[in-house]
Amino acid sequence: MHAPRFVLGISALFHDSAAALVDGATIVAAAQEERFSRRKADSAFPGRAIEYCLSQLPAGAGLDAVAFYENPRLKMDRIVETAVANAPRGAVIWPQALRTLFELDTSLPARLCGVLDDPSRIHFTTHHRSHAASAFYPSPFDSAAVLVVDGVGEWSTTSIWQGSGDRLHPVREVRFPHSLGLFYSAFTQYCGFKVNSGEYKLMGLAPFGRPVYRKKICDEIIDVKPDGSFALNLKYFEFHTGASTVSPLFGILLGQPVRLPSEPLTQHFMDVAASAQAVINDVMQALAVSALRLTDMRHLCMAGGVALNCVANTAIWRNVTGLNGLWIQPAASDAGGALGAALEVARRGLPSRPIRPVSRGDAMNGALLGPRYSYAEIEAVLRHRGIPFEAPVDEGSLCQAAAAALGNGSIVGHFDGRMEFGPRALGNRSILADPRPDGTLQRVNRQIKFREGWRPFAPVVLAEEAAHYFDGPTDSPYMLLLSELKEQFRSGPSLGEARSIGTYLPADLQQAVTSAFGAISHVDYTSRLQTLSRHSGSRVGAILAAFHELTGCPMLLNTSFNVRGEPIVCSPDDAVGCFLDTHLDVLVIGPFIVRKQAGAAWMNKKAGRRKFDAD
Amino acid sequence: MPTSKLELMELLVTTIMGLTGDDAKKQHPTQDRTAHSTYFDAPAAQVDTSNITLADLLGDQPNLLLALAASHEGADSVVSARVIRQIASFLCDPAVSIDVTEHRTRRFLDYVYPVV
Repeated sequence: MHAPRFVLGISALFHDSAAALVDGATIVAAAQEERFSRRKADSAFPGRAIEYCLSQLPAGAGLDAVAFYENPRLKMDRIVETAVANAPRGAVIWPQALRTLFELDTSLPARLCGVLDDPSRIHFTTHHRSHAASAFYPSPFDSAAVLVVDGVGEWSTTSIWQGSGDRLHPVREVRFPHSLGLFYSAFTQYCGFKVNSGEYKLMGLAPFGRPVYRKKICDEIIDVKPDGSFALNLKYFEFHTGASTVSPLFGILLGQPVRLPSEPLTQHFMDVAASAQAVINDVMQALAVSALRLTDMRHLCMAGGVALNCVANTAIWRNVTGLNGLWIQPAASDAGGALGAALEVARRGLPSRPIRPVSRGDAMNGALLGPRYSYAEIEAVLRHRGIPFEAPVDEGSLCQAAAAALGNGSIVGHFDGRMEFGPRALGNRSILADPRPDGTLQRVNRQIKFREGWRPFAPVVLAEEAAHYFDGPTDSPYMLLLSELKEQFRSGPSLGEARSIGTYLPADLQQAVTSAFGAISHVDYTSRLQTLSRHSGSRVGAILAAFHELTGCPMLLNTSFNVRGEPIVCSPDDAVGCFLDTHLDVLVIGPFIVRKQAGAAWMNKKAGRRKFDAD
Repeated sequence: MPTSKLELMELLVTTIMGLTGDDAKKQHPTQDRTAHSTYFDAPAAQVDTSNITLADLLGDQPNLLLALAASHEGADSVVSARVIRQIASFLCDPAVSIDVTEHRTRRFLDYVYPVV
């Protein structure tokens, strides 16, 4: 049998379409379609992401196989069975179901054959196997339990796997319509946020509230067994029969109707967010315990959209007894399925081939798997747009200049090297700021990202310094775990004290609860760390080290280089556009520095004029 | 011109309600498992398969829907097989035109997870 070596993985048609190219066990490239199409969470067939991945094939090499991240026949089965089981309810979504059936039946095979015209070399893995493969094969572990939790693919919504050597073996599953991802999305909708993008907001809102509805939720909405398996009470949901995730009974149970996006975030919704998060924490912890017990493992790998919930991840890290190692796929949502499918197919054919990375580190290359642009391409964009720029003499001078600008209070857009794969900006497409000055959080939220003033930011911290400032997990390269700012760096009133003096709105509470690093600590003093060694060799690591040397502060605010409702920037042109549309002060792009203050007047006038979609 | 949403809905209403009736309820009995100690299931056979090629997925059928119908017939799921064959036939009908671009750009109302 011909062993596929170069395998292209594809995820598409539902959300977060992506492509990934692997060479056996080595990940060559991966990117989400949204970065090229500029449509957030783009679900279209990822033509441009595929084009990019194929451009990374070595000269003379050809594609051996294509791997699609789910089984369309099984998915069609679930769609039809659900329609039949619920009929006549659900008629409102049948036109949508028909369109999806048409796409899966007709368009998808044709598109895949357009990439590789040989049906015997087009492979389909199941949705959860793709997630499990994305979590286990690139992980630093030779054997591990694997936990996949998401909305839904074909039928599985939660699955436990045993990963050993180059094999993944399924152990247990929970099936649609019972879904923890859909449970969390229901609360996202209830609190007035968009499903599939607002889950981060719900998680960020939770610390403002108290989990007073936890018991009611567990008594009525979800039945959780001690082993973490669960069933939803479907009378509170409509995702399987209607154009809403929640049914009207959801609001009746919780005492208020669904919040409209334009309505204020009252204490009620903060408490609901806190309650939903508390339930998710409990269920995820119990699932992690079951995963270790059922597989007799001590390491745990995770993927699926719910694995992006860093609060639940941290509950597992802190509380699961016997857990010796936790690794979470940074592209945990469906985009990562493209990578997992490719890795799963690439290991076929040569079962004796070792697929594990030899080193203790993971095989993700820091999730820096996307396109890189040459300095000549960047310079051409700057010149074409008439942007005045500086060209420091060397890399060291550039990092010193960037650190000095940050130390002077400038908000800096940073663009260099390969684009990140997954939802987090990890330095190469990042907005950076000094986290210490008062007002930085508000400024970045309001004037740079154009988003709600209460939303927290995360820091990139020198790995060597993290334990001096934070308690909890301090080895966190992908911003997937929470740490707590140490007591001595906290200041001002606590959340409870702020409330007692009459502060109730989230943005006001966020401003009232301060710390020595106010822009990156949330109201409960937690931070979603990205730890980065000063010896990482990355540009942002060098800027951070220079900033530390200059100011004594070993961390920077690090948020994705984009504005509300838009994907992270991909190309130099995207970066320059975002720089001009916002109140960013400085752009460090490749080997060049652009300063708005020193630039032409038109550069300053343009900022803030564009209107952005709500995220 | 794309077939309207209403027409699509009518097509499926006719198919599902016309072909299923009481048979559907027999095929999808409601299970109350609240008294059980777990909601976990053993993995389905398909989940244990590493991957399957497009050629194998199609088998001797011209498209995936008909391959799915054939697998249901093989498993004695007559109701589902009939529904799927009917859906496959009108998706092939030249009078039916499916516009997939609208839902791609905006799946429902942004407040429901893309389950279908």
